[in-house]
Amino acid sequence: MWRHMSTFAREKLNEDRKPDRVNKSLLHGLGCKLCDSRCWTATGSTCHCDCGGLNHGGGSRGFRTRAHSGRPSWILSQSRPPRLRELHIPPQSVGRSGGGGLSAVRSFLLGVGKTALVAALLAGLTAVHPVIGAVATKAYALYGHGMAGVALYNTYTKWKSGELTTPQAAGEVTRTVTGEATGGASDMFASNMVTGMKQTRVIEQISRETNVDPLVTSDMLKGTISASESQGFADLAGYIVRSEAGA
Amino acid sequence: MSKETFDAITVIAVRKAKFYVRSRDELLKRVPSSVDRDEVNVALRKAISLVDNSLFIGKNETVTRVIDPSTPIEQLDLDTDKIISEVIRKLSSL
Repeated sequence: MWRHMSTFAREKLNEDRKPDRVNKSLLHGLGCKLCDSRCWTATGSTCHCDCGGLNHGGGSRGFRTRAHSGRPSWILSQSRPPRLRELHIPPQSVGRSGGGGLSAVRSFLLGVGKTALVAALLAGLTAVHPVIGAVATKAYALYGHGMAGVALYNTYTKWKSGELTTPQAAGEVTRTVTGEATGGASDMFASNMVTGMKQTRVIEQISRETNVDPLVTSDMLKGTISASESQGFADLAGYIVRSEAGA
Repeated sequence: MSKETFDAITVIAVRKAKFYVRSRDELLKRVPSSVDRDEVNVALRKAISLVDNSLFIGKNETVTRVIDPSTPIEQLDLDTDKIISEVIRKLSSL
């Protein structure tokens, strides 16, 4: 069998068999400061390794979500992410949202193409606060964005440690998650709109009237429209959270 | 997007453009000559364009809820420190 396998396939197979050893040797080679049990069980904010505190209290599995400067983030995956079947969703996560909410989350978690990390974060968030979890899940499912996972994790850890109250956490989830999660959709909308404005010579007209370079005008319009759309999504999500939480 | 929203966004985009032109000149004076100026310009343009739109609405305009496109940016009483810190934050995340 080995003779017929490409070098890449053989390396991949070996990597899958011994993920920890391969990734750790890579990390040592790159001079990274690895997280260990001191980091995973830490409760404070002081951190001496590369995660900058993101892995604190994460248990022995140890997520690593912060990219190291100048290195691809995939190298920094210290240990394999949890598989979906290993995720534990406690029964109390049904909460005020009822069984329908849980099954929706469960089916989302089993969706193809979603990373195990984001799934774990959403499961944890939903278990602790069904309303926030439900909105975050919808936001991620609708707009799919890797950064949403990082934002969710940060908010969740702050909420868990008591740094944020429930209404504050709800606000932060809606602001940060929708901002990050809808960035791509908003950018695309803005880009299409500006293209239309260029074709209809609207940008040329604005530039003439305001004495601003057309290139600068179009770039500023793109960013401004994108920021406006992201804010619109955030306001909508905030409204949903407030009305569902009765806040 | 309604016509009113579009008009407001256009005015804010023009204000951002003027802010960019002023801050670019200031920034380029401090950037070493070895740094690619085009790269700095593109990054700064992107960062300013993505700053929260509400920071480019004057305090009076917020109270009256009317945006006047003819008001020069200098007379808007904008929170420049907050805008700059937002720009720096956006620059670091680009």
